[in-house]
Amino acid sequence: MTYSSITEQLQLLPYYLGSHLLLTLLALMAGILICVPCGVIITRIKSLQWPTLTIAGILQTIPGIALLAIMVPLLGRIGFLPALIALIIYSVLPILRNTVTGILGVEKSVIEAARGIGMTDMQSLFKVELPLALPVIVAGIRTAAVWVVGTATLATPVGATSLGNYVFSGLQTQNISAIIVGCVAAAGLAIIIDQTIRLTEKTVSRRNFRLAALTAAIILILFAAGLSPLANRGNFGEANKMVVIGSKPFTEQYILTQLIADNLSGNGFDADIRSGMGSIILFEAVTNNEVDCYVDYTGTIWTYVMKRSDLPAREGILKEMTSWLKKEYGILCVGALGFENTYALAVRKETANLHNLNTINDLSRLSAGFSMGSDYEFFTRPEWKELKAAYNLNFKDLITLDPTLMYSAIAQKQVDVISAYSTDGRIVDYDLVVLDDTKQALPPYDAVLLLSDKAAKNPKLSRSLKSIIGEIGDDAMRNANKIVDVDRHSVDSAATYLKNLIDLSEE
Amino acid sequence: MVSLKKVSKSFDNGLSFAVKEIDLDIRPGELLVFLGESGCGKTTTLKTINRLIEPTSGKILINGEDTSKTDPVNLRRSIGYVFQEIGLFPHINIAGNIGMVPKLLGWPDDRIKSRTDELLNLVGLEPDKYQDRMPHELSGGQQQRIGVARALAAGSKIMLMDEPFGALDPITRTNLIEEFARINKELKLTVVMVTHDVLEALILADRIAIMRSGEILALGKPAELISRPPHPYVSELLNSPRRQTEKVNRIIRGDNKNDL
Ligand SMILES: Nc1ncnc2c1ncn2[C@@H]1O[C@H](COP(=O)(O)OP(=O)(O)OP(=O)(O)O)[C@@H](O)[C@H]1O
Ligand SMILES: [Mg+2]
Repeated sequence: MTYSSITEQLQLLPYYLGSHLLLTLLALMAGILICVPCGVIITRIKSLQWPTLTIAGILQTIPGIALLAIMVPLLGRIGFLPALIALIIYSVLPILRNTVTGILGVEKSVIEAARGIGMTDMQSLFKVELPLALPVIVAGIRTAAVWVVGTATLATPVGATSLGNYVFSGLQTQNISAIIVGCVAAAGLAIIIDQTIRLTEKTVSRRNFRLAALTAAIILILFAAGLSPLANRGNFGEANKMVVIGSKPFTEQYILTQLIADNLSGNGFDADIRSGMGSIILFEAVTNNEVDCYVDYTGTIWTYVMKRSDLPAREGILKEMTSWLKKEYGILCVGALGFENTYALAVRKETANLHNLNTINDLSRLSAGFSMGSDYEFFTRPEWKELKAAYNLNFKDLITLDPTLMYSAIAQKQVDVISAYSTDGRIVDYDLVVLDDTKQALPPYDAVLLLSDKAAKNPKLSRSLKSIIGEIGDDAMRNANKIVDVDRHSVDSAATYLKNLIDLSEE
Repeated sequence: MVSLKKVSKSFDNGLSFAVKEIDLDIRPGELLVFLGESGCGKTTTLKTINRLIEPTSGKILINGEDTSKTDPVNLRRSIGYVFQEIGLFPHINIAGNIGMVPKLLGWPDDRIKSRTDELLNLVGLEPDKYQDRMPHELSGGQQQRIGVARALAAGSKIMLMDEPFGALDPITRTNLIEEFARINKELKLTVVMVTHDVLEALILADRIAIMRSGEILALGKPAELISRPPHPYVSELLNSPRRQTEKVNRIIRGDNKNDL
């Protein structure tokens, strides 16, 4: 971690922080606007209290990332909206519960006095109960604020930009600077929002107008900060110049999105990167035109999306997939980038030597004594089923890991086999041996550049992107990955490396 | 002026009655005291008058009008109420507490201000010193006086007072009781006051209603009730201060305490 790598990360801060801020502020405001009135109502209608608070309590136990992920299929879209709704749901319990406790905690004799001197129910509520319950309600809002700021970092995989982009990409690319900047910014933001709420409470309870002006100013600044990066990035400007690039959560994808973004900005487009999304979420986002452009792999589309289990030749798969995508979703396959990134079963060199392992077939007799580690997706994918059946694999343990940790896990002998990616620079770095898929149970995984139906209608866009088609070979991609994963340089420098290679070959 | 007609209240669907068939006419300008031991139903009866508690049966007429047919909010604003638990609004300063009902009634600010000053003086607290304080910055007795001032604020002719002097020391209490008797005559208020202090009842009351287990056992002028007690319980209750005084006298004379 160097000073320059931190400053490099800080350049992304306005956009990430702004998006994070907007997401959390809107979620909190909506949470307050929904939950405080609901809380008041259920103090009036006692029979609603138990069910409402129980439901809110159950919602709260759903892990943040699951709640976010579940919103995508429920709403049929990715990005800001599902993230916002998940965060609103997350803010419900503390605000609702504290509103109810706060109001029910107001001394009975005081409420009776309010009634007794002739206040209406509304007057008693606004002049007596709410002011007295305010400290408790505000405490709930502050709890919600801290939760929401924290949980919003998990919005990255569903395609909403947030400070989580730092954390997710930092984790994948082992970029400590990114992780630190992301965490510090999120913590700082939580403190600022928390203190702003505290100030607001003071203002309200003391009726101090100078404080009120200050608070209003701070809230306005926060909002402006939340909106400014979006305005800069042309979301409110010419819509057709804005290209949303999606990526899956691993190094290669981060590098390629950066390469595509650079290419597009060079051709007069504004590029918005939504990084770290899951395969299916990303594909759906492209079918909905929410993401314009991304890199996928033929084998993934073939088995996962087209649900095919037959395996024609490499060329045939590419051709059939291209026409299928066009016909079904209007998605344009601009072409193959030139390299293939297959799932490859890898073992430690010493394991290979000890047991004389060369092919996956050699594993079948040993698998019962081995444990296998893989990424979030592989074990749930149809390819795994095919592979397992084809080679009669029966590992004693299947461990799902973050792709980054997978490599250290095999190096540290916590697992014996991993599903590596063939373009991964770490295969060499960690001294792993890739076992051949002699039965061709796994499909080919040619990297292909896909454009959504909407984006495909812009000829200038596909023309600009043509320049990277067929230009990135297996070695080039492996080297680029190595620059990030092994040499610990930035994603940017890996993208620049690829760009220089492409420029060179064009000359 | 205020009439209770067979008013009953049960909190447990008729299994038991906190108040049983109370019939009572309170005359205009009179100070009527409910006297009785703890739990006999004094507060409950008082609260049925301004509909803080709805009677289970029976009805209440104010100036001939059935209160159950009037708007409870307006009814309560027109009746001053001093709460047994005082019930000042803890987040509002003294001036705001006293001026609350006038404010609900829409009085202009300057009128509220002069009214609060007047009432603070009336209950013996200097306006400049006390108006901006918060309730918790007052002693229990001072809070009780604010409770009385709040009830008087809108100039209601009917006052319901639930042990308004309970938290006071004997000297302040005697002073305030005398002060209140004077105010009362001056403003010609109709007062229903609850107490379990016999002396207070004897000093202040035009008439005393002695309650036991939710019923009115006896009703009459203090002198009548003492001279012709309609029930042994009445004479026992009303004579308790005299018996206490005799005990005190004996202590002063130095008699042996064991003989008491
Ligand atoms: N809200 C209520 N729910 C159930 N029971 C009640 C309620 N309020 C009063 N009671 C019961 O009604 C009876 C009369 O209560 P009340 O408050 O009128 O007594 P009180 O004469 O004012 O006593 P004290 O001198 O102690 O204030 C008591 O037995 C009491 O427990
Ligand atoms: Mg009482």
